Amino acid sequence: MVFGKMFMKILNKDRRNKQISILIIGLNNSGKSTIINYFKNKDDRKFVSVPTIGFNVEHFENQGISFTAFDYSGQGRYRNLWEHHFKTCNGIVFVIDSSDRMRLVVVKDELELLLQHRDIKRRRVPILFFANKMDCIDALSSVKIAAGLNLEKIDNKPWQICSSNALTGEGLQNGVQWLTAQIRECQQTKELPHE
Amino acid sequence: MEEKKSTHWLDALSDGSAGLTTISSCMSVCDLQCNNYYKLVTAEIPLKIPEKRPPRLRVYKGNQVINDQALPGIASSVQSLYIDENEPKMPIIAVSVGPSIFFYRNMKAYFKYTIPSLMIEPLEQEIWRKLVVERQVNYEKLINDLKTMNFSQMSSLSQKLISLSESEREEFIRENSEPKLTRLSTIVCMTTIYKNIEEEKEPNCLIIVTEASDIFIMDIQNFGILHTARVCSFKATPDLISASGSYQNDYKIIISTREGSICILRKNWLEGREIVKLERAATSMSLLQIDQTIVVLSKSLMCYSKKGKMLWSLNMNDTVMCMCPVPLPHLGVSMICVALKNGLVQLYSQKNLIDQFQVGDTVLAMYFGKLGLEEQVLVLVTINGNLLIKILKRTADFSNPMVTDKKVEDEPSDMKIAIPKKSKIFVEQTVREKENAIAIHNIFQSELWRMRLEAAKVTVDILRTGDSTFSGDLQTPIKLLAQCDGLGPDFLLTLTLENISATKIVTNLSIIIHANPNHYKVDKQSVDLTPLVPGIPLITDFNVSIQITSENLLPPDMTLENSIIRVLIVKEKFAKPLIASTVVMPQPELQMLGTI
Repeated sequence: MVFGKMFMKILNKDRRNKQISILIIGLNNSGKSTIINYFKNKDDRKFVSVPTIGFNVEHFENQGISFTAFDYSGQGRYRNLWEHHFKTCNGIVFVIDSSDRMRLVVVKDELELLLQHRDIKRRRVPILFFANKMDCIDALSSVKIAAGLNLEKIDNKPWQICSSNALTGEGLQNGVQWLTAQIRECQQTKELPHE
Repeated sequence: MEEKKSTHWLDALSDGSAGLTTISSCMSVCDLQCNNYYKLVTAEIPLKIPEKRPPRLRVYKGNQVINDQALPGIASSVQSLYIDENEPKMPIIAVSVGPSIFFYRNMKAYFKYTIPSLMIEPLEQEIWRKLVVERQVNYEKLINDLKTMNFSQMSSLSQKLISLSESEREEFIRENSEPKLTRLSTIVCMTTIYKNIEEEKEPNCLIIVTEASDIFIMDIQNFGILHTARVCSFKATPDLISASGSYQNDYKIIISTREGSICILRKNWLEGREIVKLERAATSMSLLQIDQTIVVLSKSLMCYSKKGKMLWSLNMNDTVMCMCPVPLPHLGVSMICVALKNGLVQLYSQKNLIDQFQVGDTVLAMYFGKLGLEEQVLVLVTINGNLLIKILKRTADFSNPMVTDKKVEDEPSDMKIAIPKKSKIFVEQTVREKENAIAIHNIFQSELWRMRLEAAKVTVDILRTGDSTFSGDLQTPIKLLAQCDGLGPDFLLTLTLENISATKIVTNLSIIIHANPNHYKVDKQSVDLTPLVPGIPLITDFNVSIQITSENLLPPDMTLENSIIRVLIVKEKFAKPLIASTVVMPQPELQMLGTI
């Protein structure tokens, strides 16, 4: 009986290390669901994406780590749902439509709200920005977006911005590799004082 | 001027180089390519009149011009409409220029519609019939006949003819040997209503209003006129239009005229009805979809019901430029955005100022609604061709009205008196009063007489005893005021006598103090007074002290009831005192007794 409990404990610990929950957020029509779609198995992929209502929970594996992704709807009326997972998430993926110049101010406003949130403000959560739709003619470069969003002011969290094209998968793998490395680092530093 | 900044809006764009000058009616926003990305379609209004290049029709995607083409003339209105229910639902653009409407599909002109001609005077037709067959020598007489007609009632051909010099006339007449006499009015404004189902992207009908005050409702599918009506029964020049509803079910069209009338046209009416007559023509007018009230911007911001009753009005600080409704259903508010000449843009929810910001330039045109992928966007075009796009923040909260020093003036017309609702008790009482009116009246009268009798009895009693602070004698009207100071056992009794008559001097008065000698010791028992002059009070002081026993105690038979001093005002040779008043003496503070 005691042995069984111990075994379960080890098992849980093992799982906790590998089960990582990430938040996929960003404005509507920025390509969040399409990005998630790319990481799924070839058989599970959808060909047509429809605007997400509320949020979808997706599981996928990458570099031996199993991710649970909360793919939130970016529509204005659902954006207040994002904060419900701020406390528990290990990493945030912020998707930006780099061709939508007009709404860069909205992105900035939402990012400020996110960074000022009480569950995020003091936590060291890696944030990965995808400057999506890089294939569009009028797309802004990732450098311009980083400057436009004042990303250099984020000092207590690791962040990275990657240009991406969710339809072809360009840039996605690089971004997720960075995110995985950062999450690992964050978890190790968190566990160090215990051991 | 203090900086006025609003925290509710995100500045998405402030493009000073846009070079766009337009008015609200020449802006339309639609999902032009059916990809849910709403684009702004505007017709340029040149402000400098002898403009060399033709005005442009532009499509903006965000801040980028994605389509730019020349228009055949200055547009009066730009509308976007849906023709049919076929997918994909691509809107078409209708641009009115002069007497014609140009329809664009995929931003390519594909149809031109010209409104029907007005009636040609028979005299004019007759003259032209003669002109083409007559010889040159007779032209002068015919043209003089033509000149007797009202210039504005003539066809454009005749207008041109009489403006030509004599030498040019012959050629002009020869060129128009088969004259097509048409008199076309100018389209002043257009709007859309739904054809059947009142939902976004459902087919529309176009409403066209001409300067000759004709209203045409057009079916876009076949460019046929479904209904023709007049703005009103009298002569008026329409200027602004706003409409709601669907052609099949029910619709209302509100038209404002340059003469200041506001007319309403409902389904199947052949003629509009004037509901409001303004002092000045409206600058901007809108029929609100949410509560179907009419908001008019003239010198002030006014709100009328559909029957023409003024609901509220609000004076504006500066000259008003334009306005647009700002419905925010997700916040449960519906606001009106007003732009002033000094560049201030204010948002009102009914009469309350909710928000304001300064744009630094006079706003000429405004639009609020979907743009791009955002749902709540305010587009402003200023007089200097500046294009501003402001996006409403998701977290914007307009529940608290702005605190400003501006006083909202209440119109007497909308003051409401709080009348309580008729309660059950009230109704029952009314019924009782109706049934027993005579009995109630008799009881009231007998009680009234009883009260009067009682009052008379008391008055007589007072007059008989003189027990009052007033003298009842008409010959010597005096008033007595007594005041008692001190904590005891020594008191200061101050008596103030005043002559209250207007002219009479009262002489030979004296005061007599009457107190129980076992209880009180008074320094003087009586005082003879100097003559009393009207208006000047006479003050007399008396030292009263309590007769304390040797054990520092109050006199044994002294109680609350009998600790009184009687003050009598007497007049020489009068047997009865003028005033006989009682002063109730206060009880001495017991701890003070021991100190003496």
